[in-house]
Amino acid sequence: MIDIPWDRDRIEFIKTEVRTCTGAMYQYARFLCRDRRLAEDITQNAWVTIFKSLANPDQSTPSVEGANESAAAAIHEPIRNFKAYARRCVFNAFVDYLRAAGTRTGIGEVLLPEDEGHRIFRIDDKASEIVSSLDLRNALLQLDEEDRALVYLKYYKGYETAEAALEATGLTGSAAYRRHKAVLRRLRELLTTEEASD
Amino acid sequence: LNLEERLIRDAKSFAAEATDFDEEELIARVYKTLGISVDDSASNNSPAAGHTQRPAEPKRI
Repeated sequence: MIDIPWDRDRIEFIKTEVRTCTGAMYQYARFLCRDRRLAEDITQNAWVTIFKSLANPDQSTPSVEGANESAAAAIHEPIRNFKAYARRCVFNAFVDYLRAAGTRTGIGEVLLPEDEGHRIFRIDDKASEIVSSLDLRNALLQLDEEDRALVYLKYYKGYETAEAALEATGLTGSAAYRRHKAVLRRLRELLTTEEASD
Repeated sequence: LNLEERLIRDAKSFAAEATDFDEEELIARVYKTLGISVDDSASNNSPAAGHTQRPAEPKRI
């Protein structure tokens, strides 16, 4: 448990954000790691980071758009885009997990989905599909945060391209579509590199 | 398969995984870790306290 003296406004702010954002943060964590228990741990660790950063005015905290106005005003560094900040905290918690001694060695490694390990060996015709899927997930992890968020929102959360690009990058109009195309091009390059090295 | 088809196929697999968790349990766990009392919000939101706020809608991230 973290012991930080908070005033009532901040406690109410964080309570509301925990209630409204935890499910989405979990889903993003699950998208990254594809493991239920690990995604729960990552979500919790991300919240600890957010909580501490809101408590410490000296830390550089990004601004959050759409945050509860009165509560946000009570925070030293107003957060302008809480959703993007939350996603970044989730990703950082995931990277911390990968870097932890004795667990994983680097971001290039992709966890095997918890229900798929046995299938690789039992069902031959599924093997290439699963390997292909793992290559894709590995490539997604190598994108930068905005690009990964764009792909996540568009393909995994069902956003329209413009909506996903705005949410992930802040771009609108033709710039949003150009960014989407550029992200797909980058992803193809990463996949080509990976498949060539297999 | 082209890239977008691969993404869509992977997203279908993800969709089934992503809802397989207990959100309320996870929220309770986060509250506990952060040292936030859940009871406070329950009492503050009670009709006796003069508030009848609905729970906040989940956000898409």
